[in-house]
Amino acid sequence: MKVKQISVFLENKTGRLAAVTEALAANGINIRALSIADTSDFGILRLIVDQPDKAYEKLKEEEFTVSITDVIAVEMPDQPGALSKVLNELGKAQINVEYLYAFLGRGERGAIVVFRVEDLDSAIKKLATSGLNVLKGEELYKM
Amino acid sequence: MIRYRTRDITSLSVEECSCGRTYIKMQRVSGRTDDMLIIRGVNVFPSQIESVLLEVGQTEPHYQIIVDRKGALDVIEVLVEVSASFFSDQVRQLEVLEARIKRALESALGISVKVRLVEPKTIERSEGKAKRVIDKRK
Repeated sequence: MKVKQISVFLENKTGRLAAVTEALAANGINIRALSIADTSDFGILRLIVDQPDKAYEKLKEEEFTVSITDVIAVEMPDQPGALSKVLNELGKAQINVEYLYAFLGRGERGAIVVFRVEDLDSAIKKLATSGLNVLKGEELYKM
Repeated sequence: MIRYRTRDITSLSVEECSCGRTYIKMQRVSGRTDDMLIIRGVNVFPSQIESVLLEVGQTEPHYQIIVDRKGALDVIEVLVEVSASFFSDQVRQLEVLEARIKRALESALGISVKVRLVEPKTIERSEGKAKRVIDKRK
């Protein structure tokens, strides 16, 4: 149920983001989803990739400041109201969302939203009985 | 005779002045024998900054001080390398760290400072005495 997300610290300088994507490209790593949290001085790049452990090792080798964070991915129908429904369920279950980002699945798949929550293990337990479609890490990496 | 060891570096000239005075003249102060900086009238030693950073922790021991002048006021910015082991995925945690360093420095130095977290290995390493201070005033 846990999805591995790669987080990279980026100084607010031109070329830093490009340097990360070049390092991933050089190692044949494909990005599935990404998001950037920015402040005036720095940003945190968050990535879902097809080979998270390899990405972590290679980025560390290139001396980026990188960490792996466990997040959850929920699939929902690609239609208005789908996200509201999911957020209401999370609210009812008292699951506190730190941040989220979303992308559309291909083909038959719906929309996928990646969440970082405050207490992951407790959230996973609650989501098991919620009726929500929580995806496994492997499903995301291979998408 | 009174002597002051102010630690300023200068030189003395015995030449006669163009106005006719023959006393010894002191040239403009060209530097210091220690690291002390004067920022907005306050004496600041880089070693004070270093010990504050070590106390707050969670950063690499590599820092750089940039001093500049904005208008009439001196400004000081302290760059600190994020420690790979501390790096948090949450912006809030990094901002909290920046704020803690800022508060600790302001309390130790008595002037307000700007703190910026930078990527590891971006601050020059050098052998022996590292060039910690970049003074852009003048």
